[in-house]
Amino acid sequence: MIELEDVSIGYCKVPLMNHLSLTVQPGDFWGIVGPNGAGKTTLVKTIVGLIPPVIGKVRFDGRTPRFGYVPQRYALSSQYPLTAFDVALMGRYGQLRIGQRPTRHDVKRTRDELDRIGLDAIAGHPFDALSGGQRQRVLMARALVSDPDVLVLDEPTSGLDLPGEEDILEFLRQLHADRKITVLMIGHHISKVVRVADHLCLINKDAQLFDAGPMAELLTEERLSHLYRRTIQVQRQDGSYHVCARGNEHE
Amino acid sequence: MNESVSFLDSWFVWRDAIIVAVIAAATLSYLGVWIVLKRVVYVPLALSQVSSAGVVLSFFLCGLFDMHETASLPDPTWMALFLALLAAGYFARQGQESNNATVVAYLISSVAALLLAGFIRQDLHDVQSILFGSAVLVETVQIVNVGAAAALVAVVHIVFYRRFLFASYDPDTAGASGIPVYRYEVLIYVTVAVAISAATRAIGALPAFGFAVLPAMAALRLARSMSAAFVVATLIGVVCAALGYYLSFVLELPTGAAMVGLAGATYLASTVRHLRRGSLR
Repeated sequence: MIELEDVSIGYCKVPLMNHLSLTVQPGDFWGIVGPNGAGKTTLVKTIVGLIPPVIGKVRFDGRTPRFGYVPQRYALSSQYPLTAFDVALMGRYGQLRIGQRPTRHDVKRTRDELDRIGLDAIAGHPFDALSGGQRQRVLMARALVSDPDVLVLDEPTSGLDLPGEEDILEFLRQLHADRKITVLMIGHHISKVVRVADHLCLINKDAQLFDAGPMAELLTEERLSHLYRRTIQVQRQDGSYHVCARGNEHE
Repeated sequence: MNESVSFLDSWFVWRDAIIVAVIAAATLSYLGVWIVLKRVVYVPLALSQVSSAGVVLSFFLCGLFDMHETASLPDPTWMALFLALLAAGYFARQGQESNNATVVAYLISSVAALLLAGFIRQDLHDVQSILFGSAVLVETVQIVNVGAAAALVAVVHIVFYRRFLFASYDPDTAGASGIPVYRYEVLIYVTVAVAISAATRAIGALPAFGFAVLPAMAALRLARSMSAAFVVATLIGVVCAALGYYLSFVLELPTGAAMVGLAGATYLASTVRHLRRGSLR
């Protein structure tokens, strides 16, 4: 379990948002949504320990969970001469002792994960030469080979074409169903996030808005319109949600 | 042929210098791969200038407190290393935003060295030879210093290679998986500072900076794996140091410039090959 109680997040001791409370139970699939620059990445980086909270603490039930982090793929330099396999194998580095080389088990684990994700054939290809969707899946394989308790994804479908987006979302849905792994996913488009997540976290630092809870409670036209400062329409059809924005500004 | 014979005949003259140049070139060319990949190519330039300022400061303090005895002089080597390590720690803290910090450090240390040099009582020629090395006349202590720096770099990088790679390539993911990224950043910069301080005093500032950038840039154009990049960069550094020495002897060229010129030519050749390969695709 991950728990934030009355936490302030921000950089260099300057709070961006105050009084945030959130409880993530094992096996939850959280979608974290909000407009650009809303503080989504800051929140996630605080949870995984990359940024200390300005006020308060991030608490864990028992030991600190192992996080499998999937950054935005644009954040990675294209200069490194690394293959897809090299990048995926990095997921095991956190578990190696200092000076230890990856064992046969580490190599096998990485190959298996690449195979599972459908990329075994291109494991030896330069990472930089892969398509956007393939790179994203390699980064997911890297996160998964670390045997994480919590998978954290920062806009995994950003910049992908429609089939690429669908593949990633389907993969995540399947992964969550099979392994019951806890997932925190920052999503650019709420309409995509609501298709896979069971909990929502709405965040907008400019409006000092933070809401977190089960999907059914939070996915209301009023809350989303407040979040995006636009009129948002939510329709529920055959058990799934459809979210769309209207052009006019929300009062 | 005659030049070759006389070059080999005078082996006892240049033996120490070429050993130092080859070790320094190999070490800096290897480290250069990290420097270029981390996009901090100004760091070695700033570090060599900071360590030069440390040497000048040491002489200045000696004059200021009227310390004529060598024993009471704040040792220039240690002062240079101390300031370089301080700067390295600061650059590591800045991370990938370190370009401004390195330029400021370079300018401040250049100005400090120039201003303090005016107050130094020692023969300016002595100070300059300590500052920039001649790459021709090498003392035994410099072989020891450069060799010790190379050994330190080798040990640290063998032990921490994978942590360095993960922390440099993707600091956020490395940090999220529990790797203390800042600690490894500092360690990389410390090894660069140690190697640059030792090399600057032995072979001069220009060759030290040249070897820390050019062989790595050429290698990264040619190599398709990290290990190949390290091996190719180190080989380019070693060959350019040795061949540059030979050319400077037979063509009577400045030694440092001959070595860096060869490294520059290698980089240009690698760029042409890279462009041709790209246009053929």
